[in-house]
Amino acid sequence: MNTDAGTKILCVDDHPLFLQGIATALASQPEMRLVAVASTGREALDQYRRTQPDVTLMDLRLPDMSGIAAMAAIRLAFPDARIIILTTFEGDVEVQRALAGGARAYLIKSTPLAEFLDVIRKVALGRTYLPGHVARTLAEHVGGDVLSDREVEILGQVANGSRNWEIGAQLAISEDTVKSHLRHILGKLGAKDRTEAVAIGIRRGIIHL
Amino acid sequence: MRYHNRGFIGANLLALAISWVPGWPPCLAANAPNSTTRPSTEISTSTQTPNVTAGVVFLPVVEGRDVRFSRISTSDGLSQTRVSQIVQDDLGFIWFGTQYGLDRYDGYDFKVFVHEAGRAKSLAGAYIYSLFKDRAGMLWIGCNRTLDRFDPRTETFTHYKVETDELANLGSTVVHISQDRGGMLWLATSTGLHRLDPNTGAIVHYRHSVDNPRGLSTNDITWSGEDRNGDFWVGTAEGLDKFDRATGNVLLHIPMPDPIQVAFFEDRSGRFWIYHEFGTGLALYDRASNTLTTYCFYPQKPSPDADTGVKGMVEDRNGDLWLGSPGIGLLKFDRDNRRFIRYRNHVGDPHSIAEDKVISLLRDRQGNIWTGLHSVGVNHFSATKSQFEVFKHQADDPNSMSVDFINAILEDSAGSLWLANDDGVNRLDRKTGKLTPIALAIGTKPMIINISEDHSGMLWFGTYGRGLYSYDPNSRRLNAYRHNSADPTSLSSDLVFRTFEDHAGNLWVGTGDGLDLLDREKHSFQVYKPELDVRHRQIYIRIAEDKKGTLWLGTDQSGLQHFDPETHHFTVYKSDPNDPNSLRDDSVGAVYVASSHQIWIGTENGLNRLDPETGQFKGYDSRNGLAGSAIDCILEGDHGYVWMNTNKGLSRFNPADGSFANYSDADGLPGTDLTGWASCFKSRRGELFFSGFAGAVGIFPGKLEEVPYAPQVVLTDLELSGAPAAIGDGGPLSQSIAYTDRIVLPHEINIFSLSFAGLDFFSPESNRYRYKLEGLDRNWNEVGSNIRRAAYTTLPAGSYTFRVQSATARGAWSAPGTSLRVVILPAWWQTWWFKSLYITVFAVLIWCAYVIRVRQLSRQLTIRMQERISERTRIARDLHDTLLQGLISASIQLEVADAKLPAQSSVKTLIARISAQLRHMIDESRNTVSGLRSGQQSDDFERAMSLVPNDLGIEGTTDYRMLIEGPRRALRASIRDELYWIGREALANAFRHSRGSVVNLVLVYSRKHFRMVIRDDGCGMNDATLQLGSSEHWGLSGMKERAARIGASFSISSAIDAGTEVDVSLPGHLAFEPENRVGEVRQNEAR
Repeated sequence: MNTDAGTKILCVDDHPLFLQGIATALASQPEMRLVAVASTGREALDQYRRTQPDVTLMDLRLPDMSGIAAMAAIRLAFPDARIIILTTFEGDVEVQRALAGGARAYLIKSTPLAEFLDVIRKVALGRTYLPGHVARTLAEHVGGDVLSDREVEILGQVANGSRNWEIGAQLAISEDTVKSHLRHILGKLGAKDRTEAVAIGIRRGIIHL
Repeated sequence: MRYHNRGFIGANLLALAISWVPGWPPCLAANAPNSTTRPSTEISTSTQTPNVTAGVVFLPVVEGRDVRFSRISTSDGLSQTRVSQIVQDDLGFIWFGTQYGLDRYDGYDFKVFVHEAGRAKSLAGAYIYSLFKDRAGMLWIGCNRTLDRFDPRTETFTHYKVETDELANLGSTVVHISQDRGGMLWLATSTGLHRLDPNTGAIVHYRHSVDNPRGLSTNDITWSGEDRNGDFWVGTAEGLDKFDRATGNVLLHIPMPDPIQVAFFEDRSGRFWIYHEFGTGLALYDRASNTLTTYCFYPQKPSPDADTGVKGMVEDRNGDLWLGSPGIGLLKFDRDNRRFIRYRNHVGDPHSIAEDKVISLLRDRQGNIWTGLHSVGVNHFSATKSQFEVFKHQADDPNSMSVDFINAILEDSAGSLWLANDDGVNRLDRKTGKLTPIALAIGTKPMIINISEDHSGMLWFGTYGRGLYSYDPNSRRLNAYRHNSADPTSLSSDLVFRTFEDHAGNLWVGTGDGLDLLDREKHSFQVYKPELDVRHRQIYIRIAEDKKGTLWLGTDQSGLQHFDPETHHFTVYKSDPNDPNSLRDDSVGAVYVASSHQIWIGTENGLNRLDPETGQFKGYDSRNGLAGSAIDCILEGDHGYVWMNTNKGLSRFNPADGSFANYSDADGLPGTDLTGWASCFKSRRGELFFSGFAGAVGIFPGKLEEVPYAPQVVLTDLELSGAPAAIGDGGPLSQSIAYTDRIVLPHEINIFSLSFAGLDFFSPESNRYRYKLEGLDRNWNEVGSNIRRAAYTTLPAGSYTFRVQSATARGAWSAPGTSLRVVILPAWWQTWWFKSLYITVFAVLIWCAYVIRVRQLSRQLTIRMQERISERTRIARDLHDTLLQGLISASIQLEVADAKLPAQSSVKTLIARISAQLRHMIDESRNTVSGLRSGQQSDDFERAMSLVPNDLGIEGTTDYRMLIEGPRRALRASIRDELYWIGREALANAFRHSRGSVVNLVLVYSRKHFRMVIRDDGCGMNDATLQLGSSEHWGLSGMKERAARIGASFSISSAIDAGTEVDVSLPGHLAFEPENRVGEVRQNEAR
């Protein structure tokens, strides 16, 4: 911890209102200093490089890439980067991915301010943190089947409203193969039909709309 | 000079009898030596011969012209000119055997059967020597050394072998065929007599043998026949033999001096006539007394080797015998007067017999007599006597009119007939038949066009251009009245068309220029015309007087006029083409005031009846049955019948039933056109006379016997696509169309025609026909005898019945007539299986189209749903990015602000409340965004509903129960979506706000409706909340709106502490997919 300057914080979010709120909250904490903000993944990497923050608040959804990808990019260059993933919704797969990608914490944006700041402090000290209910959600799906990348891709196409043959054409595979993948997806998610699969996929953070 | 009428003939006969037969009854003694029978030495003593010979009876021959012959020649289609054989078959066809073939005649057309080389079933030979119809209906034809049996049903010939091998070179041609009552056929040949069993074809030969003196004395057999006693007779070159068929012996031999073609004819009274071709030709044999009497119709006995005898005999319905002679022509034996009436050819008379050499005779079933002639074909005539007495020019007869055209006819009060033509006037003594020309000083061509007799017995002659003459038949004084343009009291014109004496004895004269009244004292005329001051010719052709004494005048082109002699007032009736009830034509030749007071008007163009009471005309023409439309003169006969002469014979109109009966030359009229100078006359005895171009005719209408009969109509030909249909050969005809009652035609033969004929030979031309094809025609098609053919094209497949009936000119239809069932087979594309296939394919196509459409709709629905989802997602993003982030930001900042406030600050409470509200809003927004984002959780409605609490993130102890009633059915996608949102909202309220322990969801699937009830046992709401909703229940109005949008009823009931119940219900037809199919399609797509 850099005592003369307090904890340097980088906030990556494309929502100006939220950034304004965070800035206000951090400004109220003497030991915390918002050194930079970024609204895209690419900008986040640049700002990180420039400011070398102690803690990075990273929104899961960014206009150019996901927060997890941006986190991966930062951690590629700065393996010790302490990054907290922020999200409006919780989803077990996202949490899993975030944790797998090296996130130190996973926070719902509507978390009460005191807890929020507390988590920043913990992470700044090098600890990790998961809110209680996120941990529970995560626990529910531990050991569950994980969708393969191709399956996630297909589920994403289904969520876009594509038909099987369209998906096949898009991915250069046969329609039968698409159907076969879909069967696996339905089985793994315990969904009864493609609509339900999409709903589960969204809820669990497998896919994003 | 002879008239074609019985009266004249009677007169002639008398004259001839006196000149020819002074010694009548016949002189036996003078001729006895010549008529002695010669005993034959060859005949055994056991063979009888006539023991008495009555000698020769010479009978006078008189000329007869009362028969109207119809001629048929090769130009009509006869195969050859010499008709030596005539028979009628069982259907009624007449068959002729000629030197070229066998001809079938139906009254109009011939069908000729000839030898066709290479065709086994054709006639074996050409020259027909003998022709016979057996009792089975088969025709037997003897040609040169061949014998054929012809089956009229199949129209095929079967060949029989007659001659034995040892006789082959002798040439046994069958010259005569007969059938005995045992059914055996007897064939006469020059090689003996042969018996043929028509069933087995077995032949027994009877021949002369020197070893058997009791057998046939010669092999030259020319004739055979069985008499009514059952005795069998054989005509040989030596005479007529009574032949015992059992033994082959001759029982009686009647030798003939001139035994060529000897035959017998047994008349209805049982007299046994023997006739033969040469010599005298006729003898009467009395079988009881065994005597033979020779009859001779020549002044002297002809030589036995002269071709002067008799070739055929028939008896007509009246019992009169007719004899055909190759030497003298056709003879009728006038038994009562013991004389012969001879009918011979008259050059220039087309209705006389065409030739005097008659070689065959037949009486058909109708009574017509057919004469086969040596060299000019065949003639036939009706032996029924005509009731019409005819007056016309007769070739070779000086006692006849000089030309056919008779201008005027009148019977005077003394009973004499007056007949006028352009050459003058003749008086006919009807008792003697003597026609006397009357010498008149009017010129060589007086052109007398009308005759009348006044009450004093004075005759009045009107001429064409020579004025008016009165003639006293007793004094023979002739007085002339002529037109004089300088004298207005003279005759108005020298064209005098009519003289008429009215009831008061006034003599009216219709001239070419007015109606003149004669002043007998002053010999002057008063002239009347409708428009005296206008120089317009008024030609008065006919004058008639009604009961009131007023005159009805027929004019040439000036219509019908009515004249009142009292007032001299004319009323003119003219035709009006636009008024069907006006006069039919302005040329009125005939006017007749009937006893019924109706006035009959004959015009150039039809008949009118004028009702004098109403002044209404009623018109008749050929469409009503009138023979011809030009009517020349009208008379009333018996029973109120109205008679008129027309350009096509006579018409008799029955006012009672409006029917016409027409008479043509076939009925005995002198010819066709009986119009002329509007001439007719009714005698005091009721005899009607008409005269005109064709001659004159007299008739006592009461004597007209109408024997109503309808000709039997037969089908004569079937043509398929324009070609005659062959019998057999795989065609539709297995036998002659005349015998066929059903034909089956394949569909590709879509043009066929049927020809028909009424086998009535009296007057085939005037017969009428009507036909219809049941199944196609509703009404009869009536046609004349010239169109005896019905043609049909492209009939749809099916079963039809062709019916045809015939009638004579005046008779009823031949009900039921002849019928033929015509079955037209369907084409393969008309068959039931093809139709079924067609319908099936069509149904499948419809089904496919339906499925495709459903898929389309389904895809559109999916796309629409997808659009809604993406729209929601966009809204969710917007909410997420703006509202939610803003709220979170605001919440964070508020907490920062709160932290900076001193702990005792009174604002802190307020901030805490704002902060809580913000947090609540964030939660609500998160839920909304989450709902919008993830949408309905499953296509399966129950499953989606079951997932709602999970989706809402409901955690707690509230029990969620789902109850489903009735068989589940697929909900319409759009309905399902709306119901989901209603249910989701209601469940959210129940879980979050009711604080109840149990939330029930009930889904009711019934046939008629779908119902969803969400019920909790929580705190409930008060009425105000229910009415207005609250901040916590803002979803209420949304639910109501959704329900209204899908046509569902929505109700919510709640009370404080009594829980809340939301009830959504909508009709089944709105809620459910019509069939499971759409659901399945969607399900299939999902997989």
